[in-house]
Amino acid sequence: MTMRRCVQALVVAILLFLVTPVLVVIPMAFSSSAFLEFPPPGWTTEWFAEFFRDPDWIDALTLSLRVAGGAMVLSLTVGTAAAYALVRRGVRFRGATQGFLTLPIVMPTIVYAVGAYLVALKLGLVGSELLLMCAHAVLALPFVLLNVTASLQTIDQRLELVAQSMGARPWTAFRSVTLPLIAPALIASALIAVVISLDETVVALFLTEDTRPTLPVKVYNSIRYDLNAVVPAAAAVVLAGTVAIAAALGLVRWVIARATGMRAGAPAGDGVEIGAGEPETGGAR
Amino acid sequence: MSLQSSAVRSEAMRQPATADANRGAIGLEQVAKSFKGAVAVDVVDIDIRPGEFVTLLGESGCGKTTTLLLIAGFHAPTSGRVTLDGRDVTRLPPYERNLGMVFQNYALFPHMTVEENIAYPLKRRKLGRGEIAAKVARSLELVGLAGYGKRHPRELSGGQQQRVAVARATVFDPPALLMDEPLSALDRKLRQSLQDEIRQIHRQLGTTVVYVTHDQDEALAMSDRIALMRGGRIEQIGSPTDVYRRPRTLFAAAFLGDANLLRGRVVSSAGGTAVVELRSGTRVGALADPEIAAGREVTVVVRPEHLRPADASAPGGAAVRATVEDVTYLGRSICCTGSFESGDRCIVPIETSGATEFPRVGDTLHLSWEASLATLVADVDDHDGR
Repeated sequence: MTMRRCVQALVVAILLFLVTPVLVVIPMAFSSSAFLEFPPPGWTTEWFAEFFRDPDWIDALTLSLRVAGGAMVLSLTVGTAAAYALVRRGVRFRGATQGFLTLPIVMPTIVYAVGAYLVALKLGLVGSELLLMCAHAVLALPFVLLNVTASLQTIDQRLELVAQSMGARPWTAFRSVTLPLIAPALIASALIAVVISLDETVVALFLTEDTRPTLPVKVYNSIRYDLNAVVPAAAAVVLAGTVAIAAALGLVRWVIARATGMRAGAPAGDGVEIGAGEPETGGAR
Repeated sequence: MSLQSSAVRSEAMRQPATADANRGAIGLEQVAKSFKGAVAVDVVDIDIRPGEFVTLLGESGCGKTTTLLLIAGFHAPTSGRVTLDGRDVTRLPPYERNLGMVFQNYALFPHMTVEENIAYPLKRRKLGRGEIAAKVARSLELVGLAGYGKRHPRELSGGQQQRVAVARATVFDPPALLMDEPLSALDRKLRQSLQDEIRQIHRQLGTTVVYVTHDQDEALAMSDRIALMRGGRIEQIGSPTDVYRRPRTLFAAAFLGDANLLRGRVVSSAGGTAVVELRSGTRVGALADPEIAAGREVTVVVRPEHLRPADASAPGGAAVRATVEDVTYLGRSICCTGSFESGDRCIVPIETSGATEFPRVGDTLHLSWEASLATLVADVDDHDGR
């Protein structure tokens, strides 16, 4: 009994530890005080207005979005091609190749950041948007690779063969058969890549110039150097974006689970028409 | 003979005008395929006539599927030539060969409806919308699935899915249809009705069919010709009756149906009948084979249904004694297994109709057969009890 109580208390403590920063940031974003006091003496949305009025913050936000978009496209293209090669083609040293491509998961970000910075310095590319995109794409690549590989492995390889026998060139066969079937994994990978890039701070700190920071870098700089009251609002914006993407990811997962569950549970033979748009039964008890 | 026909084919290549008469003809000339040194197909020569239903039969690993994929163009042969419609296609990619293909697990596109699946090859050929719809409808009717067009493959049973696969592989009117174990995922009853349907579709469309299976009954029931494969080679090719009645090797005799294999030595061979002395000393008759001379060690192949109770007074008929070791009741018949006096395994079916008394374990049977129904094979298996 007491054991059980202890465990429960521990669980609550862990949860509090996890969400406290968020619980602090959100009220602070609406605080009427300009000096980051906690608890807030009153409430206002002024800091959000300030955030969206200030061209510096907007520049940081749009830079972050562009980098995230670019990193997403790059990691998705390279990751899908690599996954396809690993699953479908006889790749030499398959295990080693896959391990190498997923290395960024375990590699300390600071090591990668320093390395990338030294390379950028040598090439005179510090502050290059494209280089930051590439760096973020490398960080997102493992997740794309693992997702798409898992999805490809569930698809019958003969589907593309049969498509080719019916006159489809290899690329057409891939585009018209395999691509639609791995689309859910691609969407999930894209969202993960965007989230990874959006809140990546360490590499961005090294690769951006002080005058053109990404949003997380600007948040960091602001809190260190000017103790700006807009910072919690900016952090809340990042948080809102991340939560929205996570929700979208959850939705995609839910749709896939439904679709595959439908496939497994589908009656064979006299197929009953399956309604695609059944209402969610969430609240029903 | 193969030299002559290859000359005819290369003639046809230079004159594409004759292509129509060759439509659906498939040729493999000295084709071999190895993967990283492992031989999958070790020299196959086969000449398939337009409209013919040819089955590649064999155990897994005999090279039958590899042979099919060589015809389809998914593998390039290590050596040799592949011809289609009388043209050399050895280097042509699969998407330019214009062949219908059906796989064991249907390989339907799960994200498309039945209609979209069947329309796929037509879309690749850039046909008009109306023409596609008409052909799809006709094709669905051909396989008895009219009205199922809007469903997804997952909403159909295995048999229905395989029919969709057949419709999809034939809707573009290919000269030949390649089928890789199309029925092995289905249960027995369904398999038989689909065998009939596939044969009917074959008759109706007149396309050449190359059919891969490991199921000897399926091969016997469906084919115009059976190519029995073993170790990457064609062991024997011929009509089902031919291959069944006149196996040329011990493997062929044992693979297709049951067989009594009696080892012995040819004593004489004259007048179309060979006399063989079995290991027990009994002399029996078999159809003479001009290539098998007197004095040669042979195996006499007798199909179980050709065994008759021996009539001691029958002139010239062989009479062999066998001891019953096991009796299995099968409903319509009884199957007795045991051994001949010579030690060879014996299998005899006995019709149950009209009979009141059946052999029992330990009984001795006197058996004979018509000499012309027994075949000589020049191999001898020296492992007792095979």
